[in-house]
Amino acid sequence: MMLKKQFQILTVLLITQLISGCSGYSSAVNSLGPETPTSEMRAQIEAPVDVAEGQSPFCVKPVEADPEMEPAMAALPPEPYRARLYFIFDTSQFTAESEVAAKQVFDEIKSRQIAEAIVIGHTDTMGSEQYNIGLSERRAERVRQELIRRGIPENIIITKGMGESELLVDTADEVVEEKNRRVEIDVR
Amino acid sequence: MNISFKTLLVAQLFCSFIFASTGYAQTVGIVKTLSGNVQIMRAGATVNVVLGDKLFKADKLQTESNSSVGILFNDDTRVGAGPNTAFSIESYHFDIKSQQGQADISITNGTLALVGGKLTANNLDAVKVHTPTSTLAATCSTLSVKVDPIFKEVP
Repeated sequence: MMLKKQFQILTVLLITQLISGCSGYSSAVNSLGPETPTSEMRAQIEAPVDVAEGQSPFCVKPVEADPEMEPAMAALPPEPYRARLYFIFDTSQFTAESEVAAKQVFDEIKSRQIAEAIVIGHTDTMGSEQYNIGLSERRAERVRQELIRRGIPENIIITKGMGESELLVDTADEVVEEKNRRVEIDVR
Repeated sequence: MNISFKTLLVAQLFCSFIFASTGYAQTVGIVKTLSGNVQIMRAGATVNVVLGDKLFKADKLQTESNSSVGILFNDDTRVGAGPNTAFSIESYHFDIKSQQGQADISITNGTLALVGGKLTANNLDAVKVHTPTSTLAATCSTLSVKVDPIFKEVP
């Protein structure tokens, strides 16, 4: 009698366990593995696509160059070359590094079939606007003379002085900033 | 009498407006490399291309055999054309301040290589190359196209 009751209780317990076990199992997707199953490739898949430098991820890399395309590729003009030459405060004298950079500009011009050099002078905000326009023009002229001295024909050089109107490093007025004392050269 | 004069005036104004807007030719690029013989067809006239020539919208260029030409556009887009190539600058606009604009180049024969400049850097669809059968956007910053004469005859 006692045994029968015990058996009954055990059966009920077993059934409830089975049911709860079952229902528990069905609600959890993965009760044995990690809490949230993740693919090893997840990071890779969800990573933002890098489209830097205008490159689409669907760009096809050419497997081999088509010999018929070679003349067209060879005819591509060289990429425009840009340089900045820096100056010593209130002078049109190059800094030491810029002496070297000037040589590079010269070589770039020489390597082209036909080149234009657009030379634009700038100053920092120290001094009056009017004075700085003159100074920036003298700096551009200094670069022009340097290029002519090295054998670049005068007629391909265009010079301009912007004064303190186009700062590279934004500063308040009357601030000495070496990065603003520059000449920007665009070799095309 | 009065009405016809008015109509004439309007027509004239309209005409002058059209001419004023299209007649203003702006340099879009410069011939930077050249080998062999290359002709340019502009406003019904054909002239030989020389280095440093300025190019305008609607210019048509034709290279002879063993010839090639290279163009640098205002936005630094570069185009190289191989021998026996006919191509034209359908449209070109580049705003220096906003660094935006668009360009359409069409090629009817030959080979063309293109390296994108500021236009493609700011908008992947800005530069398009039209061939007799398709339109290619220079989304990959570099692009090369070959149009064979035989394909033109296929309907």
